[in-house]
Amino acid sequence: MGDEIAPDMPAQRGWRLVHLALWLLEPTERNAVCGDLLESGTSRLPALRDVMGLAVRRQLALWLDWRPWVALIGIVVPVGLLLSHAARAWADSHSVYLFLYVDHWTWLFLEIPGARRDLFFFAGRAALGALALAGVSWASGFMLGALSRRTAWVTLFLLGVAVLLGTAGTTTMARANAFNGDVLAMPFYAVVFPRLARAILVIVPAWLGLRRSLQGRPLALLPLVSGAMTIAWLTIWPAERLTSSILRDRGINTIESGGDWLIGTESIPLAPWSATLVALLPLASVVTIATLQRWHKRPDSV
Amino acid sequence: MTAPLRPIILRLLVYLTHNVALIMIGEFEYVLIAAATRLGDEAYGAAIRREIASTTNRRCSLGALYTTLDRLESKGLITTWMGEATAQRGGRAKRMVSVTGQGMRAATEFYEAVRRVSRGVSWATK
Repeated sequence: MGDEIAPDMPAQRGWRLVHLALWLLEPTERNAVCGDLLESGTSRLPALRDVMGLAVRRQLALWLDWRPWVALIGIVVPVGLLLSHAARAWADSHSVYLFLYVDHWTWLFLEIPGARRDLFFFAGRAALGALALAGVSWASGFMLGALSRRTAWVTLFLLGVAVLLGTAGTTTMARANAFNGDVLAMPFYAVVFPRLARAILVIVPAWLGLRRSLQGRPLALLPLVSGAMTIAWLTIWPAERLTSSILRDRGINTIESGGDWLIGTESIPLAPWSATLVALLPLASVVTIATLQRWHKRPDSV
Repeated sequence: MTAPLRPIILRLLVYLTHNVALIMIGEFEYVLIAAATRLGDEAYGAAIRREIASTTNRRCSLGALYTTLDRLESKGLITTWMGEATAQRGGRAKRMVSVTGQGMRAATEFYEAVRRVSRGVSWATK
């Protein structure tokens, strides 16, 4: 990667860092800066300091604009935390079934009608949950690129941090359930699987969405709207369960059930719908952008 | 009522329009314009950096150089463009710099202001 930028630069470890740091700059500037470093014969540490100094100044200047802050406050923090909880809840709630169907697979699961029904039910539920997570994540990544192109990679990184660390110090209902204890005590299901779920179902789709946004090509409206409606339905469907799970994970609950059918959420306004609203925000934004793009493409539009 | 607000509004307008005729350039901006003017057709990133380092005996960071170039360009004091690539630079293009008439005037104004304010001042140290 770095060698493509500066074939004449030494390939020592310090220079590899310089190569990587150069990628933080815009292509034109990267080219000029790289030439300046080669021409002046700067040694690797001052070169790294120079490039990092320039990259930091560039980023700070970008954050004087309001758009990166909208991306941060509107997407990274709320959606990042929601996806963090949702992805871990998805992983934890499916760990037992994964343990059952993968670690202890037998063809009897398909041969016995009742077991077959259970298998398809849980596999279907896992797939739909994964689709909802990936869809909301893709839309969030797309919005990060649409809101602020030049800070998009920084905001994506921050989204990743929010997703990976957003549940620190909390637990899930599945973990609190003693019947799941043996499975969720295994290192793979306790640590690796939840992180894999966040990486594959959240961070990768968000990265793809951001890349798609930076390409700048118009989105196909019909597939997008139908996809967004499906994801929205998949998000609304488990909304109450998810919100309840998040509230429990964070210790915001009581034992008594509230009038809204959620445990202990009666006194929290909009609690059952807050997760859905946060998840629907990027979806609705992407659909709005695609609609506006379509409108501007119309030859008869003003 | 509007009299006390006038300087604030004026400053705001100046800020919004980057009207350098009313606000002087900064010290480093002046140094950069002067170095670019001295170099003439050979004014580009690395050369300006060398020129500043040799004349001021101070290191000029790439970050300071390139962000100041951008600021000066947005104020209309310089123009920049990508120049030719040389083997010495590993086939990389140079960011060439040319000082505009407005840039010359801003630098002259800064220089004259420093000269005027320094008149009659003795810098002899004890």
